[in-house]
Amino acid sequence: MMISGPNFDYTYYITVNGVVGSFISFLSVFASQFLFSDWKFRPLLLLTILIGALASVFDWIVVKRWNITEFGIPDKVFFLFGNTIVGTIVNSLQFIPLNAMYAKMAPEGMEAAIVGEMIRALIEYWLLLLHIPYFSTLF
Amino acid sequence: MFCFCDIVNTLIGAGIIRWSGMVTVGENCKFDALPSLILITKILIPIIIGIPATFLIPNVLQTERLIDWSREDWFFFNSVRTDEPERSELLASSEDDDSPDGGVGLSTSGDDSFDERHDMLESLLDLNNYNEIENMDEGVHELQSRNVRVKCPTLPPWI
Repeated sequence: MMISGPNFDYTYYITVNGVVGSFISFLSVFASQFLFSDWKFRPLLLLTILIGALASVFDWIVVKRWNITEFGIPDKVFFLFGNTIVGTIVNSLQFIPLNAMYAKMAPEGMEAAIVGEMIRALIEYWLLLLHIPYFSTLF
Repeated sequence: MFCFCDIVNTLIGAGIIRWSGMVTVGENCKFDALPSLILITKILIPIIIGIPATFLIPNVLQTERLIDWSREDWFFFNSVRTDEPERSELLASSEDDDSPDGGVGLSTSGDDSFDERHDMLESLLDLNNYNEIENMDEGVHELQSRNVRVKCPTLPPWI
């Protein structure tokens, strides 16, 4: 019989998860600048993909409830270390070099246009994503 | 393009959740397939697809140049300048990339503003709007037939 859970509430998601994630994201920017800025693109992306897969193992363990039955670690603490901390670090370490790569792929004299296009596309994406629940009700 | 991919993979993910038989709302929630989905979609697929995909990226430092635009022929098209004096004076392209338009758009030998150069091209092509050139090849041939040398950005051939 699987133990029910983890039963996270919105207060946990918004406050603890959000604050810790933002703080870790802030630290990740410095880590990216001081530790990984002299790395090549390929090994950095390889590392972040592997660590990202490792972060997902935490989710898997939470869903299987092994953090309670095997390790005795509460759900909120285990989820915080897995998805919030490791996942945020991986996202930041991927986001910065990928954006540097996009900027380098822009033709000379058109860098600002490329950045503007990316921001426009990002806003459009989020606006469209907000409407997906509405569209899904049509089918 | 990446936003399009994000939207598509979000929709596919929503479909996979539905097809897997999970019930995420209501009283009788069912998450039996969730461990398998996490294992496949968040661990195995990123490793299987993401790691080989990184080998498509040049193995250079983040501070190095990725693309040498001066060697990318598909990006610039150049017609041949001729000796026709009036038009070549109007729309003579500068060779250096330090021109006011960064060597991308139309250039003149003088200090004309972009709008003035735009008006010159507009009057030359008898078009109300330069953007009305729908077929770039026709535009290039038109300019070549009028012996105007133009450097203008265009799309890569695979788009």
